Amino acid sequence: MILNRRHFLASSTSLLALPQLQVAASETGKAPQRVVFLGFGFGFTEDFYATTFGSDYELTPSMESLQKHKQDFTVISNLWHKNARGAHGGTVVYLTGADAHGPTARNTVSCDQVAARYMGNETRFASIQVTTREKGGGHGGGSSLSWHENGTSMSGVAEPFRMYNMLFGGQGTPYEQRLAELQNEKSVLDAYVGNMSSLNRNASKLDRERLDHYFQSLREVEQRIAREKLWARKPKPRVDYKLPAAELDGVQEITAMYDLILLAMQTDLSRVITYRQPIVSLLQALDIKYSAHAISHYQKGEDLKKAMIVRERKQTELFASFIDRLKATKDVDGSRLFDNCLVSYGSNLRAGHMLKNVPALVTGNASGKLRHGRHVKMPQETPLCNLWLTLLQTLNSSVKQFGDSNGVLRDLFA
Amino acid sequence: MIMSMRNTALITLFVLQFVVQVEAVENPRAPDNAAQEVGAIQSAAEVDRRVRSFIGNYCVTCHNADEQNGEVRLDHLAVRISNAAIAQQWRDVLDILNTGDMPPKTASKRPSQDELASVIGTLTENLVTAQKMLRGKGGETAARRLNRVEYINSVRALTGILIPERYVPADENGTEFNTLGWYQTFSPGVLEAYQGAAESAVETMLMEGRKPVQDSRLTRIDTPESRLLGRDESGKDSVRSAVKHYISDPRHKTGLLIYQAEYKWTHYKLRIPNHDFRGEYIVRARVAADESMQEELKFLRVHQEKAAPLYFSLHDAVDAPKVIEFKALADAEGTVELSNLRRSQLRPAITRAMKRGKPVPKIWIDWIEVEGPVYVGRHVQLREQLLQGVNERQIASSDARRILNRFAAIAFRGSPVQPQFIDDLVVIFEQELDTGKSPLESLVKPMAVVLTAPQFLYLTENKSHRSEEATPAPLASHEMASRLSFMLWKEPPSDVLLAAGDRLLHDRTFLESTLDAMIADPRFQHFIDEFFGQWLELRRFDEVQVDSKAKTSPLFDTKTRQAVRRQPLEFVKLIIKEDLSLTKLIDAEFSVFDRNMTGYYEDLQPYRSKASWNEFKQVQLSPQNQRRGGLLGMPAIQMIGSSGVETSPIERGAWIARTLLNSPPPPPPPNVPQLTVDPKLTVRQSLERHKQIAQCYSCHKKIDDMGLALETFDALGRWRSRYKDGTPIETAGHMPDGVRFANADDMKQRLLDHKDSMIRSLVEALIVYSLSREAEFTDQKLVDHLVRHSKDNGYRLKPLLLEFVSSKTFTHK
Repeated sequence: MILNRRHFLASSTSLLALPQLQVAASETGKAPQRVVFLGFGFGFTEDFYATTFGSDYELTPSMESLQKHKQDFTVISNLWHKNARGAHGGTVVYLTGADAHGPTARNTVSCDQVAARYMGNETRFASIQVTTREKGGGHGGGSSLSWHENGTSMSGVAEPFRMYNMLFGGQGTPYEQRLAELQNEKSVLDAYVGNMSSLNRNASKLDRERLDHYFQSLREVEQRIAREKLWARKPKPRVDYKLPAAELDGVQEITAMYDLILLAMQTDLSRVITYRQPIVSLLQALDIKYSAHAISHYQKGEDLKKAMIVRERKQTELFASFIDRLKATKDVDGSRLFDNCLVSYGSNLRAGHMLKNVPALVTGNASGKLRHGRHVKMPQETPLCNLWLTLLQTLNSSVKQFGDSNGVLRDLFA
Repeated sequence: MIMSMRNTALITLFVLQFVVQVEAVENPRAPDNAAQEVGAIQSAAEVDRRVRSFIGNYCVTCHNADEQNGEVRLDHLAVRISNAAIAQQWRDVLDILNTGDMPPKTASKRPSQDELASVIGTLTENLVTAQKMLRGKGGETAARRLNRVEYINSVRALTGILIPERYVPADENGTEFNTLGWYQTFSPGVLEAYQGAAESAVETMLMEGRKPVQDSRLTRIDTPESRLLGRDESGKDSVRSAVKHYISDPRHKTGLLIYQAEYKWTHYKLRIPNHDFRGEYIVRARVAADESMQEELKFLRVHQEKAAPLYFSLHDAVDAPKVIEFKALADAEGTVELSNLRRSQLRPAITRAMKRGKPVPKIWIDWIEVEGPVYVGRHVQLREQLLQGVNERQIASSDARRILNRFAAIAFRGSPVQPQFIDDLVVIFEQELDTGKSPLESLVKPMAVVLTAPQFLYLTENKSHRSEEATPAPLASHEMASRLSFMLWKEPPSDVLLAAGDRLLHDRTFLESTLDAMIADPRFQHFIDEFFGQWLELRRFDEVQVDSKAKTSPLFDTKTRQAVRRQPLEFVKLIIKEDLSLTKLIDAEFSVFDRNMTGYYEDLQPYRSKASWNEFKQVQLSPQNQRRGGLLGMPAIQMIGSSGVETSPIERGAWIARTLLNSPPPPPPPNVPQLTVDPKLTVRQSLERHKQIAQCYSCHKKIDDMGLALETFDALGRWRSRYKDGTPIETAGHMPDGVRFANADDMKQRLLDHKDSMIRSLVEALIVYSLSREAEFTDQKLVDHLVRHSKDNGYRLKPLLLEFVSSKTFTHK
């Protein structure tokens, strides 16, 4: 661990670049590519999954709302994380594929962060983690779907109004004032960092491992402050969207987050986004009295199954409207935002406690390489990390391997 | 492979574990013979033989040195799991046996269901035990962040301010104890949250603390006109009719009315005049309840943000009003809410009656008196101590340095404060001044940084000795004081306890008297709530949702839920205070109830006269109600195995296995499809299907029967002798060791035969709770000793705690 403050910054700024000074990317030519990973807990009912394959496959009733987009997305079957040992682990390893079960295990970097290494340097935010704070939502530990290399969780923004403020707030602050504010934040950080050295002298190896999470957070803050300083002169984009209310029901919350994700992409505030979706608030908005865990064990009763189906239909409907808006939004070079992004939608588990053959759906057509409109059947027990690798490689060919991937899903390409 | 001495020793321990462990072998086809096989010992040699025989007969044909189907070779796999790689291989074998994919259906030689169930059971246990051994860290307690309760208490100890829970990051411990560090994550968001919470506490202490103190005053509120303020007979229809109904009762002129359940008049928000939140107030009210109110619902509910709701019985205030009194710990706005039933299924009926102009049940309040403020909060004194010798309006940097040093020294609980850290804090102070804040305001941020530094936020002990070797060293005296204080009171050690640290380590008599004093102190409630609350897994009860408007669960509302939740912990408290045997937890001739419980549960109604509204009282159980004895007779425990609508015998059985028998069932294997419930079968018949599938049976034979014995308690813990459709409830079954029982009461007697297992479970939980780590193999000697010691001391908690905190394990790090 590097404790000298001067060295601290030097090691982390190498990835930072100056912000683009052009206002419209159309001056440089094409729109940038983006990637969005959407994840939810508890999977679906078995009824959700299509049983026919190829280009002529049929959508199930639960997938009805996606019918209009059928030619523009791909469903993939037989993917799984062999290291995911238990359904109760939640979405902790969904984007990492690591074996992170129990006291000794460690998580590792999530695929969106690998993408951010290549795609996160020209935007105000290297990546954005949207999340939910609810308990019992099937996500397990951590603050978002995104994880660092050293196994610490990345924090996310959990409320739409907070996300709005993060993206578009503080418009009126003069540059000098902003710099002064950042300098004050830096002084606070310096106090924390300087304080760490005395701690480590009396700590055992085990203690240091625990305190490393704290130290990693300080690093993140330092990077954020440095990045904000570089961006302080550039004004934040103005959008025609109202600040969301603090109290939103589950449906409004998910809709608002989808809206904000869209705006963040359209205004090029970030090109890498993850969204750890809620279910508890969604169930409440749908007037379902059962807990999320109870309906995930829908085999126990008809009522539970009905409730689970209501939820999966609504959730899919919300996803379908997200695709609607992606297609309707104009990108900087006149094309559709849809054409310049890749969106993944899925869960860490299939149904109940079944971790094999998880739901995996991909839409968007960044790079133009994917051939949508099919239900692709991979060989049994194909690593889900193969899908992550495929998406990463589509966006940046230098990525050769991710998690426990053993190849690329060639079947997705034209 | 040459193994280190440590590994050899551990493996020897591991092997011995199997030699000493008693486990009966059960033949599922002959339950009556099972009783004769109690006491059969499964030695390590037996495990070896059984597993090798299975692998030899059914696996090796395709998975050997010459032929490795699926790239798997099994002929040379060591049965004894000595490292993580071997553990992984056995995990894969177990997983595939569980999904039924191996041995393949097309194989010429396949095992019988019994053989398969047996080897799955053996491998599962083998694996769980081995994984535990491999996780051992030589008994070291690692640094961990304060959990929510500890953080709130620690901030209060320093500033006198109680931060509301919602401002503090939640514990994300899932099913684990919230004192374990490994589940904790940290991120900039968490850092920000802690800093923000600390800033608000410090700001409140510094800024509010200096307001002039008010004299205590008595104010009487006779006729609160505000009740009708803004509402008159004009306006919306519904408002108009509600107002009309209200003023049709002549009593509205001489007091205020609270309706039983119609939303416009269900509650009254008492606003304390000139409220000073630093002080406490006494509130008195003269109240009467209408005769037309249901007997069990004649009460006044007082709701305050900072305390649990109070219920005042009014069944003796029908003919003549009576005066009630309570202490008000009002919320930030100085409001206290008075009501009867806020929401309930009575509301539609009452609303209908109102619309027709008919009278409805009400509570009449003649007058309300508010007396106060009385200042008891520590923040006033703490603030004085902090700012001693400094002029508040002119705080120079040198003064700030002194104040911050003082503050950090106490906050860091014995960890050294670096001068450079204070320098950095003074820089922050000066920057705050530059932004135009007053000197006092400018102290807020640097003080919040102190409360967000790891020396405050984390519990750490000096472990520099661990870098050389793994042997534990004795605690420093302040570390002993800290361990005791956080264990029993969930707060940092007081000056008195800190000063006594050395004596606590070396003088057993002194340790005993200190322990007694700490147990007698009201703060010991934290231990009961946090330790027993988690050991009994009451969180699972909290997660059960009950629709109180549903016909199946009439009036299981907030107050009932609260009472049900408190019952097991009040029972524990009684056992500890009266120094009784912990075996009472399994079965007892008495229990504890309050009026909210006796009101809801029909079979408890005979105890109504003995129960009070705001307090749990000990009640002797009649012979027919012995079924309510012990934890298993309590709705909170029964509802741990409930969905709110239906019972879950599996969950109930698993709880018994974990908590009372110290034999936690392994987690359900991944990727095994669930059994669909056939509505034509009874609950028992549905679970019988576990017996037909080897993979299920190996674990479920130790769970299902015990849960099914409790079927006479429904999903809300109500007693029933038959199911709703009239079918009788069968309760006979077998314990995991094969011994038969006829019903739940009988099962409790069988559980008492295993009381040592319950104590073992409690002791291991105590290790996890107070030492923030798993109970490891190296702890088994201590656990054995404590169980024996407990037996010799009547299974009472106090001697057990004393023996524990004076042990080498507790006093070393």
